[in-house]
Amino acid sequence: MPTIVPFGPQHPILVEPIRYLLALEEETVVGVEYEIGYLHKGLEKAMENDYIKDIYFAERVCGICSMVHSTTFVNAVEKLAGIEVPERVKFIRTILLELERLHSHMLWLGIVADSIGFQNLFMLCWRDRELIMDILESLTGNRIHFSMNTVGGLRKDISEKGIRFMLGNLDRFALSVRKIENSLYNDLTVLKRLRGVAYLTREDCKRYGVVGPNARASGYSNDSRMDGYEAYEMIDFSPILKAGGDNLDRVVIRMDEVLQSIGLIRECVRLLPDGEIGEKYKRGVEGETFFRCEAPRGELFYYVRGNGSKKLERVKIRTPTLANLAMMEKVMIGLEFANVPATALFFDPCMSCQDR
Amino acid sequence: MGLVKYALKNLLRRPATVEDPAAIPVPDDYRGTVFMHRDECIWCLRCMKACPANSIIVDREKEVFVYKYMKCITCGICEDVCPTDAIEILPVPREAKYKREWLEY
Repeated sequence: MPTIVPFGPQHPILVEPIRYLLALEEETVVGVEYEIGYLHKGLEKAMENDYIKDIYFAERVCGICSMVHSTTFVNAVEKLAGIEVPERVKFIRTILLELERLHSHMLWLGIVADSIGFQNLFMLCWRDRELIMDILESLTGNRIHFSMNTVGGLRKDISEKGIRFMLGNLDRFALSVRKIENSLYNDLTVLKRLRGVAYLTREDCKRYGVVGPNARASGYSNDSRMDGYEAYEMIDFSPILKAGGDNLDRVVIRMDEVLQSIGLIRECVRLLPDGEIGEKYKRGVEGETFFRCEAPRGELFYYVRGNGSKKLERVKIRTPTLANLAMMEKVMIGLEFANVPATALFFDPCMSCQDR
Repeated sequence: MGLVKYALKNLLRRPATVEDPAAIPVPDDYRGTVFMHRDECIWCLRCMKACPANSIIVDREKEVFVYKYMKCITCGICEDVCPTDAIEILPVPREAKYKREWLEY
């Protein structure tokens, strides 16, 4: 007869509320159930509104990856309206998306390091994340909610001074990431804590619909950037894959993606064309469509339906965390109870996105 | 030896944290505080209609402009739509302390 142990919604290790019910036999997990919905905000209903206002609602779905939400929403509306944005807009959006991936992965690594008891690494990660936040502040005028996107283009251009500041800070950031990688991969305790824990095969990834870096850590190539939205079709890009499928590979793939993103940003800056930043679209939209983007956590999906006026009829958001949660039923079984808190964070949950 | 070197290096380095957040310089186009120039306003109500958070309430007859500090999300759309540039977003960071009248929701 297994013992039922509740884990969450309030737990020191959990940043955001989610409730797990764990069935334990001695110290081993034999069954998992989870309960979501503690942060439901009703944003999808609130977005049945003027689509210009909705851009700011979409930004506020997530407090970490706000740019990718607004970009996906704006792209869906642009697809409905049949607008092709100028190339400069595409490149600037790509730069901001990749910067966002950098700071999201560093934030995740900090929290994860904290959860396995590596407090020093947590502080180092968050210190270096500030470099990226400073870049974003100087480019857009705010740290998290950039308010850069509008239907048909951007609201403001990025300055030459901002780009110079960005490249300087990125060099410093890349050096720090190398140092962090060095201290992370050479630490015996970290390796023992992560290697072989919470293993997920490629077939299981397909069966549970896992997206993003978690899927790529198991060798399942699932990256919406390959669809070639924004500037990704114009730059040299291919997703990184790892075959391990355990917690260690989930760290390794994100650290590799950080370095890859720095490269992508530098390439975008090199190819950044001059020109207009688009014109604001003001007419109504009709029909229905969807758009997918690669958020730092995986595939983000927006469905938009309009009825010819400026007000949208329905907006549906499917966030990567919702897709990734299903795999917890698989990876948690067979774990030691001491590994449960870390594993609950290792798939990069963002409950604020997930409950909308 | 490596440890001593590392310790000395860290002793001589500036701390990563800042004592006073107000001392951090902000970029020129930082979106901080919303400021309204009363004599330039033509009471067209565009800012009120455009605001996603309904933080601006304008009464045309009484010429009253109410700005709800706590509702504002500093997106800057009011500055964009204003035909006479009566609304300006200043690069002054929002304060951590609130006054009682700002809390009115």
